[in-house]
Amino acid sequence: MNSDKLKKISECLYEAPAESRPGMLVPARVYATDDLIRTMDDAALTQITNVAMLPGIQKYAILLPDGHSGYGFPIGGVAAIDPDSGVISPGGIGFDINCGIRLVATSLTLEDIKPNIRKLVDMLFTSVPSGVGAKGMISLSDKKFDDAMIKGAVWAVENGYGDQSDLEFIEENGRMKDADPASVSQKARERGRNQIGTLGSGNHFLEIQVAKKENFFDERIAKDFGIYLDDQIVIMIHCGSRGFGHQVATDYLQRFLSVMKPKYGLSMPDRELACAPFYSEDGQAYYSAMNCGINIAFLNRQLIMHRVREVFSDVFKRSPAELGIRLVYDVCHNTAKLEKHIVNGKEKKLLVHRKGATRALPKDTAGIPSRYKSSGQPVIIGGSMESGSYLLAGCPGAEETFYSTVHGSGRTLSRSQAKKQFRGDVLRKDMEERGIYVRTASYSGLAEEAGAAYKNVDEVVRATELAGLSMPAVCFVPIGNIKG
Amino acid sequence: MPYELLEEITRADIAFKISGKDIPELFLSAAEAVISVMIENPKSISHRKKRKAEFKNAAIDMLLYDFLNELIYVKDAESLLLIPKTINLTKNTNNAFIIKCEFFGEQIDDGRHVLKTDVKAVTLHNLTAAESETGWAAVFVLDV
Repeated sequence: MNSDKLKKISECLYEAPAESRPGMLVPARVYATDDLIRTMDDAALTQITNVAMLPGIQKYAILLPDGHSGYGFPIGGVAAIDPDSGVISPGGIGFDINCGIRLVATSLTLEDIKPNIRKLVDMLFTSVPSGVGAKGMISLSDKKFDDAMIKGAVWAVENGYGDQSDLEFIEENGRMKDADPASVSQKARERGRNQIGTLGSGNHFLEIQVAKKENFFDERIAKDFGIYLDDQIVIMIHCGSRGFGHQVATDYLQRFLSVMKPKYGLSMPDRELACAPFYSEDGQAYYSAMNCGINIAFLNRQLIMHRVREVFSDVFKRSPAELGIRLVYDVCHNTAKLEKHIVNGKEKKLLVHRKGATRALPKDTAGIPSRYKSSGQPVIIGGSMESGSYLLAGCPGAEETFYSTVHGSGRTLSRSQAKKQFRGDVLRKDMEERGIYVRTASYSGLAEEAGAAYKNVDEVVRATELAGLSMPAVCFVPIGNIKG
Repeated sequence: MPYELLEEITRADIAFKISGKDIPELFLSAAEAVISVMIENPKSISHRKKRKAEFKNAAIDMLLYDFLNELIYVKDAESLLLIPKTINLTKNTNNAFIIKCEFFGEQIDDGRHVLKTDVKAVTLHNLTAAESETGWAAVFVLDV
């Protein structure tokens, strides 16, 4: 990205003023170090300045340090919109509604797990379906599917897939309240019915990771989050709402496109930013269907964690409780949620669109588990499969980003560029020699996810900390990976 | 090549530029591009199942959007890989385009189909379909 077009506000913050393009209602702000801004593509800047044109947008359109171009909204984009005067836009959430990440702790160490790592990864690869055409572990009747859309992870726990205590450690306790199955099409049901409990493909993963002694940055916060042993083993799950959410987004994108101009007199420079007033019939229908998508994604990750518990229990011949398996936290990446924020000194209800971004609440804030009150909300950043992933805590400085922070490291190479540089089978062998055992449904998919296709996650975390958006507690390195 | 990858549109997803001498050929090429994202060896898809479908839209780009989304829908809803065999284009009295398509295909079989990427959706980002110097051209971005 050419930063000459941007005004530098501080060490980690650039701004495109509202006057820089006709139609912008607020400035666009880009959070990045000098190194990171050079790796961001120009299309991402165009996209975030388009976002600044959404009716009702408050303060700034925000691009976070892991930002890069996507479709409509950039990945790493945040837009807080006044629901009374503004819109909801499916493109600001993405097709993979509530794509998110879940971190599971164990009381095992690297030494405990090393002899069994291949067996564990192989069994997880079999137990957690992944890749094109994978069928899930449950198939729901219409009635049960409706219940699942309404209850999300709560439905999973009620049906034996997890513990009641898991729910406290999921954003929104694993269930969005304003979910109405009547707003969901038959097509979305058909696409999603057989995919609950599947990983998907692309950048989705299930990874076994280790917290090495030298990678603890804040031992108190890490301990608060349940990471306290040198070489402690954790499991990270990254996936979303699968075909169900994809179809909800597809359905409403078309619907919004057909009504936005004739019915509401709205136009946007990119059709992926199709939108409708939040409190219109169309806006409310999408919001209630999107909340079903969020709930199905919570359910999906809950079922996958259940399988993880079963596999670890099988391999180690001990109960999940004896293995110390507990959910650290589950965060959403692709959502629009009604939240209270301060605008011009006054508290205001805002519809915060986050696409490839994580909510990050500081300590002593309502909405985070009581166990974490003195540390802040856990923020989980999935790095590339070759680098590392981070556990951070929300900070007060994130007020400026509507308490949002990064979600991953962000791409520097496109998928085809990555495939030109790497071969999946060679990469797998090479990673194994470096102590990362990989199983994948697709070698070409593996090549697309090579570590060098991503930004330096350490630099992304540094930018996040410098900007005061969240602070690192501990970093994990991968030792076993399942790629869809 | 009836389709080529575009690098500059999106970094996270997959953008294609498609060409064809006419609209049916354009759509056939676009379907080929989508299937090539899902599996390595589209030629391995047998003709075990046949399917007919009709799509109608006043705009060619949105007709393409509907048509390609059907391929993604059946992949998830029925674990079916479909390839269009014939496409007949007509217009109705309201000047809307109608395509009648015959597809062949089969259930996904990971023993024979070398699986690649699970396509989530066709996006509207930079979606175009218009006449070109050599016939018809289209650009679309897939969310993967």
